[in-house]
Amino acid sequence: MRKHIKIITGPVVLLCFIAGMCFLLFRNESDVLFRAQELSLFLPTRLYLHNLSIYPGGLLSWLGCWLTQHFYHPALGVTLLGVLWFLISMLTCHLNRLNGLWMGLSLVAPLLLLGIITQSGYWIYYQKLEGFLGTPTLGVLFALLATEVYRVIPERWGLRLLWMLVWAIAGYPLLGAYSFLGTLLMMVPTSLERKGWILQIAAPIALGTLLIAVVPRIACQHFYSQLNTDLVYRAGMPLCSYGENDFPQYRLPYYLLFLSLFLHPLPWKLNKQWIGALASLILIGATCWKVNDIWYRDVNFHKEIRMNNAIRQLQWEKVLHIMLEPNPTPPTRLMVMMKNLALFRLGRAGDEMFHYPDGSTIQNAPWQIRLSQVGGILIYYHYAKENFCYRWCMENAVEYGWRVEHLIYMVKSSLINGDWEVARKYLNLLKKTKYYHEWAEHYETYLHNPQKVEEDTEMNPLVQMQLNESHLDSDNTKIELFILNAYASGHGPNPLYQEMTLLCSLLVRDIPSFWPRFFEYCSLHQGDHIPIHYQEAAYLYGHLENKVDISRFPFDEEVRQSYDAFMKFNDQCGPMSLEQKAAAFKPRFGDTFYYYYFLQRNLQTN
Amino acid sequence: MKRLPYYYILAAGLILLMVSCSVNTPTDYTDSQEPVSIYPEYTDVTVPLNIAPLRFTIENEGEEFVTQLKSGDRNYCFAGPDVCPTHQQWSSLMAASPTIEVSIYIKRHDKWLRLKAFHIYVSEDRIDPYIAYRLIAPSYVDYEELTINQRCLENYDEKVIYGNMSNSTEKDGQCINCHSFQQYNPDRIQFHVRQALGGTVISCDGKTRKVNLKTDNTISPGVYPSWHPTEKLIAYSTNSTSQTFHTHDLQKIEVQDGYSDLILYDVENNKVIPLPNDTCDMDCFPWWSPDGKYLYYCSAHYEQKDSSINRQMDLIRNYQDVHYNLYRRSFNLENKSFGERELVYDAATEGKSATLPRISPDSEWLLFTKASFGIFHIWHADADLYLMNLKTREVRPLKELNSPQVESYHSWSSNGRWIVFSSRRDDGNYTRPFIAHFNKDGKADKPFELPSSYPQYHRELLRSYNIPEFISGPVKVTPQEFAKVIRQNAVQATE
Repeated sequence: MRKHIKIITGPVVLLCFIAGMCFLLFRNESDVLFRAQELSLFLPTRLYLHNLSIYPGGLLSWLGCWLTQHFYHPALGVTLLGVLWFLISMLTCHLNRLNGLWMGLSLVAPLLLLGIITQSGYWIYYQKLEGFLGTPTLGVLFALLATEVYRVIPERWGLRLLWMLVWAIAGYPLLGAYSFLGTLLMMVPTSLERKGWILQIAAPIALGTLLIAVVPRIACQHFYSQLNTDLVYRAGMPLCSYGENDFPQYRLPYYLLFLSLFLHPLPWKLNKQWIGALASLILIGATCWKVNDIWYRDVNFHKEIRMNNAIRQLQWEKVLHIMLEPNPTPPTRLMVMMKNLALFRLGRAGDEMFHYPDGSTIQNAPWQIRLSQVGGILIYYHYAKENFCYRWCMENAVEYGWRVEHLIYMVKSSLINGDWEVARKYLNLLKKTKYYHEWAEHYETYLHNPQKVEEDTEMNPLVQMQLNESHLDSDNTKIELFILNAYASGHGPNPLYQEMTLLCSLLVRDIPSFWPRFFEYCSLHQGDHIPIHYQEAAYLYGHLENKVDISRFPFDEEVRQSYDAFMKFNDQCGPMSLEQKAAAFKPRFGDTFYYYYFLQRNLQTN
Repeated sequence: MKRLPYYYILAAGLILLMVSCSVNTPTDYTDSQEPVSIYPEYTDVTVPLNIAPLRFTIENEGEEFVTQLKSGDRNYCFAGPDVCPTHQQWSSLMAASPTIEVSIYIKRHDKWLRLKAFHIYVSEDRIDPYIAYRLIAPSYVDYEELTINQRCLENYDEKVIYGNMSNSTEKDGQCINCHSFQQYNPDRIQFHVRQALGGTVISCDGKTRKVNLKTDNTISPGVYPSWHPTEKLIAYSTNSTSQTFHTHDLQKIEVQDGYSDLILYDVENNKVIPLPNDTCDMDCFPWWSPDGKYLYYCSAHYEQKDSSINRQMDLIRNYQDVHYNLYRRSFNLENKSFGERELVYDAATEGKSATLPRISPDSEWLLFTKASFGIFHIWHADADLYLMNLKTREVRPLKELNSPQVESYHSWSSNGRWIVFSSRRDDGNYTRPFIAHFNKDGKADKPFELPSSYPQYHRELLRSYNIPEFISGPVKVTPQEFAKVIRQNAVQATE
């Protein structure tokens, strides 16, 4: 009985540790993981596998995408990861004969695999390696399994060398660079005895080295017509570069991961358990520190994702709630646009648009994040610019690979546009997915049914905001500016569209475009209370220019008072820089259009 | 472990064989007038004798399906909605008679219905065994993975001629386009590489090199090419092109030229010869007559309307006012000079725009694309194919091939009996090659979509086919060899 307990104690401890890792991942990154699966795609089709297999490591990418799709239910995805990490841990123990307290060493690799996921941040949008969240785990697992097979095969007749050969030749197309990891692990001698050293030590090292050097070159020369020769040894690994810049720091956990798998053979002869405990403690501690260090915890990043998820579920109040949560920095433009969108959908933009934090914090990444690549699709869709939504789905799909998100928004924008057959094409693909087939079946009923599109809660306002006329335009990748200017100069009879034009003319601070839209708004909403920010703008512009007679307009007393107070305070302040003034005015006037007009001037869009 | 006795294996094989042969047409059925719905739409099409099997899926609703393909004394039955004859079955059906009769039986509520049979007509006119095309996602500005491919029409083999990723990096992306062959000859191919390692790759009889066709006096490097049918000469347009986006129109994008001219490139002497042109005329899409005595092209005359803005912006504002006519110039091979331009087809006076002139190998027919305006008709849903009888100059829409969606780029087969053309009829967005038989009397038969190894292939494929061109065999230069040449510096062409 004691013996049994002793045998299972180690695995149970490993399992508990990995369960803890999974819990941390689930608790802190559920939204990110869900978003990651939206930014991935797995199709169980021949063509999909074929498309991935035109580069070495295609099968690994395919499996990585398969794994990633399960983050639709983050708990399930994390559990699957946990199972794989446990397998890696157990295989590491078995391969390296780790027992007792030495088994702790086998947790280094799973910890680093966790770190690889949690360091991702904005790479979930920019990484071109498909299935990249799952490939390291699966690649390491396959490399260990291959090594396990190598060790199980008898040494006679060069069978192990034959297996190494088979593995290197078959592994490279299937697993890319991870096949080298397997080969390298096989090259590690299992004993250092002199007897038979040629077959056991020298031959594997020589053959393995030769195979690693030669197989990728031959494959590139004869089989992979689209593989850049500079990347033959990095196939299946993430690129970690954007434009002209390379970011090797993101590759460090991969290097550490590979290195960690070669640390294990060292303790074979060190049977003293206290050394094992110490080594495990030091290595796990150091790895935990590193993983914690690289864990991407940017608040705006997480908020953007949570707001995105809320919009997906049309939870507009939740969007506003997230926006109001404490933040160490001002919001990003994406957050501000999502907030404005939520207020617009709730019909409260004219009254509350300036009640929320404003800012233009640049996304926390070492490269320039573009709105068009992280949230532009959603923004364009919900701002009723369906052609531009479709366009950026396509552009991003071309550059970063097809994702569930692209297909979803291409379906929705095509349905609103009445582009039925192309919507059907994307629906057919979504129907093949595990988690979106029901969604696709639902929207399939919208095909050739404009009435159903119009009655859809989400699409109804977007249909209303469509204009029949079309003209040529270009956003030059500046999505916010494009939307604001397009609406600020737009005219449309529909009240929703009309209000959007008024809102945008406010935001671009364009007085000439404001007045006609303001009067049009008033005539469309006769008898209604005019929202406070529109009144503020009219009152301010009326006084600034004296071109429009506002004396008979029934402004709220609150508007008159706040304007007078603003101007009086301005006189009291004396000479100050814009930043000083903004800070001084914010507590009293930060929620007014006056503040936005005069003092919120340095916003940068991306 | 005991070994499985060989007779178990034999029995399993026999059962498998019996199952595969056991599909029979139902004996008890009712004839139905319900129209057949299959994808791809292969009903009553005419196919060449050497085409790969047409595989399709039945889209009529049903619980069970049996399809019978019958030709002469040959008869094959298929169970299930996907009808995928093997090469062997297909060959024997084609050989048995010139008409394959397809009967579809559908089981609904435990009763079998037989839909009205359709036919696949087999023409004895052979088709060139290969087509080449570029595969590209129908994106607008961005690009990543592009390949120029060759596809054997006699089976489903598709191979890359050159893929841009072999020379692309994150820092320096590479675009490839405008592949072209001299007289269907796979040993004489040219295509362009843009941006990283840019230049025009010309492979001629085993010698491959990269040249820079941009000179001080040309608008751009060579763009749309046409090989002279016999000489080592290539006519190109040079273009200053821009793209803008429709805010609402389903066509989404407008590709326009601000300026465009024609040049002639002498491959052997590495020399560029510009063709004369008025600055307000935009010449494009050159194409040689089969005898090499004329260069056909399209040209639009556009005078700037608002001089306070640049020409490109002016054109963007007035994009619907740009109309191309078809012209030709005689060519003197001895001194490599061109005559005055002759109007071949005046589309502008109709308020239309005609592009992509292509002459049939027998010089009798001129096939072109016509739409309401502009040059880049692949983005214009109203673009259709038109046919001109070059003897009578009579023009008619090629209704047999046209659809409500785009029909654009088109090529004649080497014997003039087949046309491959681009169409977006499937979904309005993704271009697919369609092939049609062209009769001697100038009529075309119903076209068929490029056959695929499985019926849903083109529905799953998220790329468009660009510039389908017939070739007489596969290109032998490997992608790696092209990649190596592209990594070298381009040879500068002279004037």
